[in-house]
Amino acid sequence: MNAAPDDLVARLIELAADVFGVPAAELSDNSSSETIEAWDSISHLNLMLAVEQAFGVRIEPEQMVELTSIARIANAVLKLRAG
Amino acid sequence: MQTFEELRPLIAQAAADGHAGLARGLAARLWHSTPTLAAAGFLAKTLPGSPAAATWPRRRVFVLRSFTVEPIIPALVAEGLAAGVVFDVTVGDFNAYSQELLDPGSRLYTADPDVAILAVQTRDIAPELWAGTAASPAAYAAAVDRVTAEVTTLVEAFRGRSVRPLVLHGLDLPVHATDGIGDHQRAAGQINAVREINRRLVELAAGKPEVYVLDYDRLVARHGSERWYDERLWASARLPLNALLMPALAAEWARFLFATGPALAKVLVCDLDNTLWGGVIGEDGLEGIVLGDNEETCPYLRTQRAILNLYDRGIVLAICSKNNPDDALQALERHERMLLRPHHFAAMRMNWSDKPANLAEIAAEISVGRDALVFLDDNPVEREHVMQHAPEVRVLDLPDDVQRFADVVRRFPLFERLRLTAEDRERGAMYAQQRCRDELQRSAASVEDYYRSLQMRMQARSVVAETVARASQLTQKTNQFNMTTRRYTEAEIAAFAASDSHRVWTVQVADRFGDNGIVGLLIVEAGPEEWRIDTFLMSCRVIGRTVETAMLAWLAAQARATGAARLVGEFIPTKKNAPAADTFSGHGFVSAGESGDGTRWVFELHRGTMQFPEWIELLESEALPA
Repeated sequence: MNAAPDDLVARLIELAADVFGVPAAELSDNSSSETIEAWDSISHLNLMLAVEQAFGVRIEPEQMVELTSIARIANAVLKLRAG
Repeated sequence: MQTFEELRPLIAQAAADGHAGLARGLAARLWHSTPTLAAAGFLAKTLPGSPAAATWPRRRVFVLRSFTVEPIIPALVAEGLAAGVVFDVTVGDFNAYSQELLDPGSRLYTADPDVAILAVQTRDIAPELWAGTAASPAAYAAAVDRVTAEVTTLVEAFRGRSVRPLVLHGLDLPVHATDGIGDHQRAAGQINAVREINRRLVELAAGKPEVYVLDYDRLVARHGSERWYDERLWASARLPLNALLMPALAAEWARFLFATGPALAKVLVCDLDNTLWGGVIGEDGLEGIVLGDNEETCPYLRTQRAILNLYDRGIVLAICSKNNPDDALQALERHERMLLRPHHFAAMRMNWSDKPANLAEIAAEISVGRDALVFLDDNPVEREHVMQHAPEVRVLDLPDDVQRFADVVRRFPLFERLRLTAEDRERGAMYAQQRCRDELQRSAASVEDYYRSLQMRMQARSVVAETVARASQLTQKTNQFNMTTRRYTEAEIAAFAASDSHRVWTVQVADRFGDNGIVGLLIVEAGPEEWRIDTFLMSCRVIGRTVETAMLAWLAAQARATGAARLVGEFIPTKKNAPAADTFSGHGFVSAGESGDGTRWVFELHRGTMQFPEWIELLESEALPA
């Protein structure tokens, strides 16, 4: 898996921090639903919709359930935008 | 237009600095230009706990729902923040609205929110009507009866357990009827079945205090049902609507949340040049300003019509314009196409002074707080200046495109009113009468002469069904002459009136210039010995005319007639009720120390009498003569 560019990760971190209502400094590309308390199933849906809005992509429901870390979302966004 | 990334640090700074005006104005700018989940999340995490929002009004909201609403909640919170209001939202359990409404011990009742929303949709509550699987006219009729009965039970359960307002979703029409294009012409078809439920829900709401129906189908239609629904999110997350339209539903909820509870904005203050007409009257002259042939083609006339509609709704109008007053008045009085005329405005500031200073004067002249003002001006520099230097005043964020001004005025959510009382309809005319009174006062030799020449008449009546709404409205809106500032819903007023312990009287005042309508309210816990005055308030409309003396003297006479020994008053100071602070001491009440947040005052009825003002005629009959 290729690493996503830093600016994309930074944008995702800011986006996730807004959606979860936490400071961006608390998140990194390693953050996942395992490590972030505010990342529950409800805020996950909010994050997925926010990613769709911010990056103009469409994430299928089957894929949504897998995108539970910043790094995974970044890679998915890269692929969706390329596709 | 500023982007999210440009606005982000500005909003964060205003929030941290405690600058309420900038924080609210910039939040509105962000939210109205970028209504995304990220922007909503940013506002929701940055503003509610910040110093800027420390004094913003708060509303606790409980959303009962049959579908996933969680992604809509940040948008709802953002919608509130953009208007300078903090919504504290609790969401009921998924599809558990029936249990929550029926169980007296549920979270809904323990949370006791300021207002509850029941968000249901046709596909959940009437699946056979949504899918068109009811196979016969009889089956449709049965579905209509079942749904109506179900909702009636829920609403009655809520009304029996809570006095809070309830906002009930109406049902949405299926996008495609099973019987195709002719379905709506069949009385017992699918479309008319849903319409019949909606008709009955409105009827149900009309018969209950403070139950309101949100016309969900019209909301969907406004945005287009083809765009509204999102089957992908419905299938995977039980979120029925397109994420892009979640802010539209949030905005509609917010309108109801603003409109239930104390009025948050009461006055629209308008600029003139390039706002109410095109061009500059001082330069272009009466013939030169742009005010086209008709409302279809002239955006300025459309803006004026939107403002006139607000006037008819009881919103007070004022002018704040940099102009020579003679020029501006000439346009308002003499331009043949002008819809708004001088008599529509309760206060006018047409001068070259700073607008924030003018706004402060306007608030004082109309006797409202500055936070009740909304500022309409095409000039972004003036808007920014007001945001900076009159932080309590809400500023409408007008676009550059004048074609959209009327829309911005019509959409402004804080001018929504769910109930219009007779007083609301007449408010504009009352301000015009007030200007006549002010002139009389200036010409009178003494203040007593002025009182006498007013020829005032007063009548106190026990509250009745027709006056409950106005009584509740007075408790919600009256801030200045209000001893205890207790806010009561219509249901609470009705409960007082029905109780053995309490009495509720509305007080109506008229004079030679016209009828002021119901301007006073007394709620008294009438014990055998002691009459405790729970609420004693008077609209600012009649302040300074000895009506409070008349009300107290009348109340003392009532109490004495039942054999009570004393009146007990209470004064709870707030930021706004200083004008009422000396009322009890000024009428012979004796201080009886602290009580809770305020002070207690006692008037021993056997010790003295309270003189009813000789210049007010007390009417005993049921109706005030016109």
